[in-house]
Amino acid sequence: MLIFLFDRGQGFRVRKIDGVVDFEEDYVAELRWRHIRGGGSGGGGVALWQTIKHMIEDGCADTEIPLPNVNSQTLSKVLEYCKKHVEAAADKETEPEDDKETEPEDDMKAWDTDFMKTVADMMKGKSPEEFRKTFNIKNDYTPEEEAEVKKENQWAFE
Amino acid sequence: MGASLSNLTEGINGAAMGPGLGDIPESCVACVFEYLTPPEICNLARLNRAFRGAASSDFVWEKKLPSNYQDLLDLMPPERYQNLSKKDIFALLSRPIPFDDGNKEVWLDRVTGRVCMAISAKGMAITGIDDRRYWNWVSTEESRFQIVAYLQQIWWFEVDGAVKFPLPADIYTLSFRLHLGRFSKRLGRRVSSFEHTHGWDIKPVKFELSTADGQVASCECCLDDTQQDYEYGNLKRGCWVEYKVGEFIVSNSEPATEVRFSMKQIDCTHSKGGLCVDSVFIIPTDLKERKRKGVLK
Repeated sequence: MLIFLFDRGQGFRVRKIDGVVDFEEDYVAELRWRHIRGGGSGGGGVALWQTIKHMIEDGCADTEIPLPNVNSQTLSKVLEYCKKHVEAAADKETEPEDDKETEPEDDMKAWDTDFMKTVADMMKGKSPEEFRKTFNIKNDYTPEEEAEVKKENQWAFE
Repeated sequence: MGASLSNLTEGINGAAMGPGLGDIPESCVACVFEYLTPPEICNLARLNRAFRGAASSDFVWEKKLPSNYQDLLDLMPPERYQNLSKKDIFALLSRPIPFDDGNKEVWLDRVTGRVCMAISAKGMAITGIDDRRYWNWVSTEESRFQIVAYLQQIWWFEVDGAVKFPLPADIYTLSFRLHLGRFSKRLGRRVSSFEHTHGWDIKPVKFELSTADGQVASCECCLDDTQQDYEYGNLKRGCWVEYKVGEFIVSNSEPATEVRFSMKQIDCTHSKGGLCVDSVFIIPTDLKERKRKGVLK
Protein backbone atom coordinates (compact mmCIF):
# COMPACT_ATOMS: atom_id res chain seq x y z
CA MET A 1 0.00 0.00 0.00
CA LEU A 2 1.26 3.44 -0.83
CA ILE A 3 0.25 6.45 1.12
CA PHE A 4 0.86 9.57 -0.78
CA LEU A 5 0.79 12.94 0.92
CA PHE A 6 0.43 16.22 -0.82
CA ASP A 7 -0.22 19.81 0.00
CA ARG A 8 -3.31 21.63 -1.22
CA GLY A 9 -2.34 24.97 0.19
CA GLN A 10 -4.71 24.70 3.14
CA GLY A 11 -3.22 21.59 4.65
CA PHE A 12 -1.89 18.18 3.81
CA ARG A 13 -3.81 15.38 2.23
CA VAL A 14 -3.20 11.69 2.10
CA ARG A 15 -3.96 9.47 -0.85
CA LYS A 16 -3.86 5.74 -0.93
CA ILE A 17 -2.82 3.91 -4.07
CA ASP A 18 -2.90 0.15 -4.02
CA GLY A 19 -0.39 -2.32 -5.22
CA VAL A 20 2.92 -0.49 -5.14
CA VAL A 21 5.25 -0.08 -2.25
CA ASP A 22 7.05 3.12 -2.94
CA PHE A 23 7.73 6.27 -1.04
CA GLU A 24 8.07 9.71 -2.38
CA GLU A 25 11.58 10.36 -1.20
CA ASP A 26 11.58 13.92 -2.41
CA TYR A 27 8.47 14.69 -0.52
CA VAL A 28 9.88 13.43 2.74
CA ALA A 29 12.96 15.52 2.14
CA GLU A 30 10.79 18.52 1.36
CA LEU A 31 8.83 18.11 4.55
CA ARG A 32 11.97 17.75 6.59
CA TRP A 33 13.36 20.86 4.99
CA ARG A 34 10.21 22.78 5.85
CA HIS A 35 10.37 21.52 9.37
CA ILE A 36 13.94 22.71 9.77
CA ARG A 37 13.21 26.02 8.14
CA GLY A 38 9.80 26.80 9.51
CA GLY A 39 9.75 24.98 12.82
CA GLY A 40 6.30 24.94 14.33
CA SER A 41 4.91 22.56 16.86
CA GLY A 42 3.61 19.12 16.16
CA GLY A 43 3.05 15.78 17.74
CA GLY A 44 0.95 12.70 17.89
CA GLY A 45 2.49 11.30 14.72
CA VAL A 46 1.96 7.69 15.60
CA ALA A 47 -1.58 8.40 16.62
CA LEU A 48 -2.20 10.14 13.37
CA TRP A 49 -0.76 7.21 11.48
CA GLN A 50 -3.15 4.95 13.36
CA THR A 51 -6.07 7.20 12.50
CA ILE A 52 -5.12 7.11 8.85
CA LYS A 53 -4.71 3.36 8.98
CA HIS A 54 -8.14 2.90 10.55
CA MET A 55 -9.74 5.13 7.96
CA ILE A 56 -8.14 3.21 5.14
CA GLU A 57 -9.13 -0.12 6.64
CA ASP A 58 -12.68 1.07 7.14
CA GLY A 59 -12.80 2.00 3.48
CA CYS A 60 -13.86 5.54 4.22
CA ALA A 61 -10.83 6.95 2.53
CA ASP A 62 -10.74 5.33 -0.86
CA THR A 63 -9.18 8.23 -2.59
CA GLU A 64 -8.25 11.00 -0.21
CA ILE A 65 -8.03 11.66 3.47
CA PRO A 66 -8.18 15.33 4.34
CA LEU A 67 -5.88 16.39 7.17
CA PRO A 68 -6.51 20.06 7.73
CA ASN A 69 -5.08 20.25 11.23
CA VAL A 70 -1.74 18.69 10.66
CA ASN A 71 1.45 20.63 10.27
CA SER A 72 4.58 19.61 8.44
CA GLN A 73 6.48 18.51 11.52
CA THR A 74 3.82 16.02 12.51
CA LEU A 75 3.41 14.82 9.00
CA SER A 76 7.10 14.28 8.43
CA LYS A 77 7.12 12.19 11.59
CA VAL A 78 4.20 10.15 10.27
CA LEU A 79 5.94 9.68 6.98
CA GLU A 80 9.05 8.54 8.74
CA TYR A 81 6.97 6.08 10.72
CA CYS A 82 5.16 4.74 7.62
CA LYS A 83 8.41 4.46 5.73
CA LYS A 84 10.07 2.48 8.48
CA HIS A 85 7.18 0.07 8.69
CA VAL A 86 6.88 -0.40 4.94
CA GLU A 87 10.62 -0.98 4.64
CA ALA A 88 10.52 -3.54 7.41
CA ALA A 89 7.59 -5.33 5.76
CA ALA A 90 9.38 -5.31 2.41
CA ASP A 91 12.57 -6.68 3.96
CA LYS A 92 10.63 -9.48 5.49
CA GLU A 93 9.05 -10.43 2.19
CA THR A 94 12.20 -10.40 0.13
CA GLU A 95 14.64 -11.90 2.60
CA PRO A 96 14.89 -15.64 2.58
CA GLU A 97 14.07 -17.27 5.89
CA ASP A 98 17.16 -17.83 7.93
CA ASP A 99 18.32 -17.29 11.49
CA LYS A 100 18.41 -13.53 10.95
CA GLU A 101 14.64 -13.54 10.68
CA THR A 102 13.91 -11.88 13.98
CA GLU A 103 16.39 -9.04 13.53
CA PRO A 104 14.26 -6.59 11.53
CA GLU A 105 11.44 -7.01 14.04
CA ASP A 106 13.68 -6.23 16.99
CA ASP A 107 14.97 -3.27 15.07
CA MET A 108 11.37 -2.19 14.40
CA LYS A 109 10.51 -2.50 18.06
CA ALA A 110 13.42 -0.33 19.08
CA TRP A 111 12.43 2.23 16.49
CA ASP A 112 8.80 2.21 17.68
CA THR A 113 9.88 2.66 21.28
CA ASP A 114 12.00 5.60 20.30
CA PHE A 115 9.12 7.05 18.34
CA MET A 116 6.62 6.66 21.19
CA LYS A 117 9.11 8.33 23.53
CA THR A 118 9.41 11.26 21.15
CA VAL A 119 5.65 11.65 21.09
CA ALA A 120 5.49 11.31 24.88
CA ASP A 121 8.12 14.04 25.23
CA MET A 122 5.96 16.33 23.12
CA MET A 123 3.07 15.74 25.52
CA LYS A 124 5.01 16.72 28.64
CA GLY A 125 4.95 19.97 30.54
CA LYS A 126 1.80 21.55 29.11
CA SER A 127 -1.37 22.56 30.90
CA PRO A 128 -4.56 21.08 29.40
CA GLU A 129 -5.40 24.51 27.95
CA GLU A 130 -1.99 24.89 26.33
CA PHE A 131 -2.14 21.34 25.04
CA ARG A 132 -5.55 21.81 23.43
CA LYS A 133 -4.42 25.00 21.81
CA THR A 134 -1.15 23.57 20.49
CA PHE A 135 -2.65 20.38 19.11
CA ASN A 136 -6.06 21.77 18.26
CA ILE A 137 -7.90 19.29 20.41
CA LYS A 138 -11.58 19.75 20.94
CA ASN A 139 -12.74 19.89 24.54
CA ASP A 140 -15.85 17.73 24.51
CA TYR A 141 -16.46 17.89 28.27
CA THR A 142 -19.46 19.50 29.84
CA PRO A 143 -18.52 21.86 32.71
CA GLU A 144 -19.78 19.22 35.18
CA GLU A 145 -17.62 16.52 33.59
CA GLU A 146 -14.63 18.81 33.57
CA ALA A 147 -14.99 19.41 37.32
CA GLU A 148 -15.41 15.68 37.86
CA VAL A 149 -12.27 14.80 35.88
CA LYS A 150 -10.28 17.42 37.74
CA LYS A 151 -11.42 15.95 41.05
CA GLU A 152 -10.75 12.35 40.06
CA ASN A 153 -7.14 13.17 39.11
CA GLN A 154 -6.36 15.53 41.97
CA TRP A 155 -4.53 12.83 43.95
CA ALA A 156 -1.64 12.88 41.49
CA PHE A 157 -0.83 16.50 42.31
CA GLU A 158 -1.23 16.52 46.09
CA MET B 1 -15.40 28.03 27.11
CA GLY B 2 -13.48 25.15 25.59
CA ALA B 3 -16.43 24.31 23.37
CA SER B 4 -16.57 27.78 21.90
CA LEU B 5 -12.86 27.63 21.10
CA SER B 6 -13.26 24.49 19.02
CA ASN B 7 -16.26 25.97 17.24
CA LEU B 8 -13.98 28.76 16.24
CA THR B 9 -11.44 26.45 14.64
CA GLU B 10 -14.19 24.54 12.85
CA GLY B 11 -15.32 27.78 11.34
CA ILE B 12 -11.90 28.49 9.93
CA ASN B 13 -11.45 25.08 8.38
CA GLY B 14 -14.93 24.82 6.97
CA ALA B 15 -17.88 22.77 8.05
CA ALA B 16 -16.39 19.42 7.02
CA MET B 17 -13.86 18.76 9.78
CA GLY B 18 -11.29 16.11 8.97
CA PRO B 19 -9.63 13.95 11.56
CA GLY B 20 -7.50 15.85 14.04
CA LEU B 21 -5.47 14.85 17.05
CA GLY B 22 -8.69 14.80 19.04
CA ASP B 23 -9.73 11.75 17.02
CA ILE B 24 -6.78 9.65 18.13
CA PRO B 25 -7.90 6.15 19.07
CA GLU B 26 -7.73 5.46 22.79
CA SER B 27 -5.54 2.39 22.36
CA CYS B 28 -2.97 4.51 20.63
CA VAL B 29 -2.86 7.18 23.30
CA ALA B 30 -2.49 4.38 25.83
CA CYS B 31 0.72 3.21 24.07
CA VAL B 32 2.25 6.66 24.41
CA PHE B 33 1.20 6.83 28.08
CA GLU B 34 3.60 4.02 28.79
CA TYR B 35 6.35 6.64 28.58
CA LEU B 36 4.68 9.20 30.81
CA THR B 37 4.53 9.46 34.61
CA PRO B 38 1.25 9.14 36.54
CA PRO B 39 0.96 12.92 37.19
CA GLU B 40 1.55 13.58 33.48
CA ILE B 41 -1.15 11.06 32.53
CA CYS B 42 -3.61 12.52 35.03
CA ASN B 43 -2.92 15.94 33.56
CA LEU B 44 -3.70 14.70 30.02
CA ALA B 45 -6.93 13.05 31.18
CA ARG B 46 -8.31 16.56 31.48
CA LEU B 47 -8.04 17.18 27.71
CA ASN B 48 -11.11 15.41 26.44
CA ARG B 49 -13.14 12.19 26.70
CA ALA B 50 -10.82 10.11 24.52
CA PHE B 51 -7.78 11.07 26.60
CA ARG B 52 -9.71 10.44 29.79
CA GLY B 53 -10.65 7.00 28.51
CA ALA B 54 -7.06 6.15 27.67
CA ALA B 55 -5.85 7.60 30.97
CA SER B 56 -8.20 5.25 32.83
CA SER B 57 -7.28 2.05 31.04
CA ASP B 58 -5.96 -0.87 33.06
CA PHE B 59 -3.42 -1.49 30.28
CA VAL B 60 -1.67 1.77 31.17
CA TRP B 61 -1.74 1.45 34.96
CA GLU B 62 -0.85 -2.21 35.17
CA LYS B 63 2.64 -1.20 34.06
CA LYS B 64 2.89 1.60 36.62
CA LEU B 65 2.14 -0.71 39.55
CA PRO B 66 4.89 -2.83 41.13
CA SER B 67 4.62 -6.50 40.22
CA ASN B 68 3.63 -7.47 43.78
CA TYR B 69 1.15 -4.66 44.44
CA GLN B 70 -1.23 -7.26 45.82
CA ASP B 71 1.08 -7.52 48.86
CA LEU B 72 0.38 -3.85 49.60
CA LEU B 73 -3.36 -4.32 49.09
CA ASP B 74 -3.30 -7.23 51.51
CA LEU B 75 -2.61 -4.73 54.31
CA MET B 76 -6.09 -3.30 53.79
CA PRO B 77 -9.56 -4.76 54.21
CA PRO B 78 -10.65 -6.23 50.82
CA GLU B 79 -13.74 -4.00 50.56
CA ARG B 80 -11.45 -0.99 50.11
CA TYR B 81 -9.95 -2.24 46.86
CA GLN B 82 -12.48 -4.66 45.42
CA ASN B 83 -13.80 -3.69 41.96
CA LEU B 84 -11.36 -0.81 41.64
CA SER B 85 -9.70 -0.06 38.32
CA LYS B 86 -5.91 -0.28 38.17
CA LYS B 87 -5.72 3.50 38.14
CA ASP B 88 -7.76 3.74 41.33
CA ILE B 89 -5.57 1.07 42.89
CA PHE B 90 -2.49 3.14 42.05
CA ALA B 91 -4.13 6.22 43.58
CA LEU B 92 -5.07 4.22 46.67
CA LEU B 93 -1.56 2.82 47.12
CA SER B 94 0.10 6.20 46.63
CA ARG B 95 -1.31 7.21 49.99
CA PRO B 96 0.46 5.79 53.06
CA ILE B 97 -0.88 2.41 54.17
CA PRO B 98 -0.32 1.77 57.89
CA PHE B 99 0.69 -1.65 59.19
CA ASP B 100 2.13 -3.23 62.36
CA ASP B 101 -0.24 -1.33 64.71
CA GLY B 102 0.06 1.82 62.63
CA ASN B 103 3.74 2.24 63.53
CA LYS B 104 4.88 1.51 59.98
CA GLU B 105 3.71 2.82 56.62
CA VAL B 106 4.25 1.76 53.05
CA TRP B 107 3.27 3.66 49.91
CA LEU B 108 3.97 4.01 46.20
CA ASP B 109 5.92 6.99 45.00
CA ARG B 110 3.46 8.90 42.78
CA VAL B 111 5.94 9.63 40.03
CA THR B 112 7.87 6.37 39.75
CA GLY B 113 5.47 3.82 41.28
CA ARG B 114 8.29 2.46 43.45
CA VAL B 115 7.72 1.27 47.00
CA CYS B 116 8.70 3.48 49.96
CA MET B 117 8.45 2.78 53.66
CA ALA B 118 8.65 4.57 57.00
CA ILE B 119 8.92 3.18 60.53
CA SER B 120 7.96 5.33 63.51
CA ALA B 121 10.06 5.57 66.68
CA LYS B 122 6.91 4.11 68.30
CA GLY B 123 7.64 0.88 66.44
CA MET B 124 11.26 0.66 67.65
CA ALA B 125 12.90 -0.69 70.78
CA ILE B 126 14.43 2.27 72.62
CA THR B 127 16.53 1.58 75.72
CA GLY B 128 15.04 3.38 78.74
CA ILE B 129 11.96 4.63 76.86
CA ASP B 130 9.65 4.04 79.85
CA ASP B 131 11.75 6.15 82.21
CA ARG B 132 10.61 9.74 81.93
CA ARG B 133 13.93 11.00 83.27
CA TYR B 134 15.46 9.81 79.97
CA TRP B 135 12.86 9.80 77.22
CA ASN B 136 9.55 11.55 76.48
CA TRP B 137 7.01 11.22 73.70
CA VAL B 138 6.31 14.54 72.00
CA SER B 139 3.32 15.08 69.70
CA THR B 140 4.15 17.11 66.61
CA GLU B 141 2.94 17.82 63.09
CA GLU B 142 6.54 17.64 61.92
CA SER B 143 6.42 13.85 62.01
CA ARG B 144 4.39 11.81 59.51
CA PHE B 145 3.41 9.67 62.51
CA GLN B 146 2.51 12.79 64.53
CA ILE B 147 4.83 11.79 67.36
CA VAL B 148 8.57 11.69 68.08
CA ALA B 149 10.72 10.37 70.93
CA TYR B 150 12.65 13.11 72.73
CA LEU B 151 15.78 12.18 74.66
CA GLN B 152 16.50 14.43 77.61
CA GLN B 153 19.61 12.70 78.87
CA ILE B 154 21.04 9.18 78.97
CA TRP B 155 24.31 7.28 79.14
CA TRP B 156 23.33 4.18 77.15
CA PHE B 157 21.81 5.45 73.89
CA GLU B 158 20.39 2.60 71.84
CA VAL B 159 17.52 2.43 69.36
CA ASP B 160 16.74 -0.84 67.54
CA GLY B 161 14.13 -1.79 65.01
CA ALA B 162 13.15 -4.35 62.42
CA VAL B 163 10.71 -4.69 59.57
CA LYS B 164 9.57 -7.60 57.45
CA PHE B 165 7.84 -6.84 54.19
CA PRO B 166 7.79 -8.25 50.62
CA LEU B 167 9.56 -5.28 49.02
CA PRO B 168 9.78 -5.50 45.22
CA ALA B 169 13.20 -5.93 43.63
CA ASP B 170 15.19 -2.71 43.87
CA ILE B 171 18.11 -1.12 45.71
CA TYR B 172 16.99 0.60 48.90
CA THR B 173 18.55 3.19 51.18
CA LEU B 174 17.80 3.08 54.89
CA SER B 175 18.11 6.28 56.92
CA PHE B 176 17.27 7.66 60.37
CA ARG B 177 15.43 10.99 60.64
CA LEU B 178 16.75 12.89 63.65
CA HIS B 179 16.57 16.41 65.07
CA LEU B 180 19.15 17.88 67.39
CA GLY B 181 17.44 20.07 69.99
CA ARG B 182 13.82 20.50 70.90
CA PHE B 183 11.40 22.56 68.84
CA SER B 184 8.18 24.39 69.59
CA LYS B 185 6.01 27.16 68.23
CA ARG B 186 6.06 30.55 69.85
CA LEU B 187 3.79 33.29 68.50
CA GLY B 188 3.40 31.27 65.31
CA ARG B 189 7.14 30.95 64.74
CA ARG B 190 9.16 27.78 65.02
CA VAL B 191 11.90 27.94 67.62
CA SER B 192 14.45 25.36 68.69
CA SER B 193 15.95 25.08 72.11
CA PHE B 194 19.14 23.28 72.94
CA GLU B 195 19.02 23.29 76.75
CA HIS B 196 19.47 19.49 76.89
CA THR B 197 21.65 19.14 73.82
CA HIS B 198 25.04 17.81 74.78
CA GLY B 199 27.49 14.97 74.29
CA TRP B 200 27.02 14.31 70.57
CA ASP B 201 30.28 15.97 69.56
CA ILE B 202 32.42 13.75 71.79
CA LYS B 203 32.05 10.40 70.08
CA PRO B 204 30.17 9.32 66.93
CA VAL B 205 26.92 7.41 66.89
CA LYS B 206 27.13 4.03 65.19
CA PHE B 207 24.39 3.25 62.67
CA GLU B 208 23.94 -0.33 61.45
CA LEU B 209 21.67 -2.39 59.26
CA SER B 210 21.49 -6.07 58.39
CA THR B 211 19.18 -8.19 56.29
CA ALA B 212 18.07 -11.77 56.85
CA ASP B 213 19.95 -12.80 53.67
CA GLY B 214 23.26 -11.59 55.13
CA GLN B 215 23.75 -8.07 53.81
CA VAL B 216 25.25 -5.63 56.30
CA ALA B 217 26.07 -1.94 56.28
CA SER B 218 27.19 0.50 58.94
CA CYS B 219 28.51 3.99 59.42
CA GLU B 220 29.54 6.36 62.17
CA CYS B 221 28.63 9.98 62.48
CA CYS B 222 28.95 12.76 65.05
CA LEU B 223 25.48 14.23 65.43
CA ASP B 224 26.80 17.59 66.63
CA ASP B 225 29.61 19.88 65.53
CA THR B 226 32.52 20.53 67.87
CA GLN B 227 32.92 23.94 69.52
CA GLN B 228 35.45 24.86 66.87
CA ASP B 229 33.01 24.38 63.99
CA TYR B 230 30.36 26.50 65.72
CA GLU B 231 31.94 29.71 64.54
CA TYR B 232 30.76 29.04 61.00
CA GLY B 233 27.23 28.27 62.18
CA ASN B 234 26.01 24.89 63.34
CA LEU B 235 24.23 23.11 60.50
CA LYS B 236 23.35 20.02 62.49
CA ARG B 237 21.15 21.76 65.06
CA GLY B 238 17.51 22.83 64.85
CA CYS B 239 16.58 20.98 61.67
CA TRP B 240 15.60 17.47 60.63
CA VAL B 241 18.53 15.50 59.24
CA GLU B 242 18.35 12.14 57.48
CA TYR B 243 21.35 10.03 58.43
CA LYS B 244 21.98 7.43 55.75
CA VAL B 245 22.85 4.07 57.29
CA GLY B 246 23.46 2.16 54.10
CA GLU B 247 21.93 0.35 51.17
CA PHE B 248 20.62 -3.14 50.61
CA ILE B 249 19.55 -5.03 47.51
CA VAL B 250 16.29 -6.88 47.06
CA SER B 251 16.30 -9.25 44.11
CA ASN B 252 12.83 -10.69 44.57
CA SER B 253 9.69 -9.85 46.55
CA GLU B 254 9.56 -13.50 47.64
CA PRO B 255 10.54 -14.33 50.33
CA ALA B 256 9.73 -11.15 52.24
CA THR B 257 12.71 -8.92 53.04
CA GLU B 258 13.69 -8.74 56.68
CA VAL B 259 15.79 -5.76 57.76
CA ARG B 260 17.17 -4.94 61.21
CA PHE B 261 18.54 -1.51 61.99
CA SER B 262 20.03 0.27 64.97
CA MET B 263 21.82 3.35 66.22
CA LYS B 264 24.04 3.29 69.29
CA GLN B 265 26.26 5.49 71.41
CA ILE B 266 26.97 3.33 74.44
CA ASP B 267 30.17 4.87 75.76
CA CYS B 268 29.03 5.34 79.35
CA THR B 269 31.86 7.68 80.30
CA HIS B 270 29.74 10.61 79.14
CA SER B 271 26.05 11.37 78.92
CA LYS B 272 24.21 12.73 75.88
CA GLY B 273 20.82 14.26 75.31
CA GLY B 274 18.60 16.81 73.61
CA LEU B 275 17.72 14.71 70.54
CA CYS B 276 14.42 13.93 68.74
CA VAL B 277 14.03 10.55 67.04
CA ASP B 278 11.29 10.52 64.42
CA SER B 279 11.51 7.58 62.07
CA VAL B 280 13.46 5.33 59.75
CA PHE B 281 12.94 5.61 56.00
CA ILE B 282 13.46 2.87 53.46
CA ILE B 283 13.42 4.50 50.03
CA PRO B 284 14.63 3.28 46.60
CA THR B 285 18.20 4.56 46.39
CA ASP B 286 18.09 6.79 43.31
CA LEU B 287 14.46 7.85 43.72
CA LYS B 288 15.04 11.55 44.37
CA GLU B 289 17.50 11.89 41.55
CA ARG B 290 15.23 10.10 39.09
CA LYS B 291 12.24 12.15 40.12
CA ARG B 292 14.17 15.31 39.49
CA LYS B 293 15.03 14.12 36.00
CA GLY B 294 11.52 12.78 35.40
CA VAL B 295 12.87 9.34 34.57
CA LEU B 296 10.63 6.33 35.04
CA LYS B 297 11.69 3.09 36.64
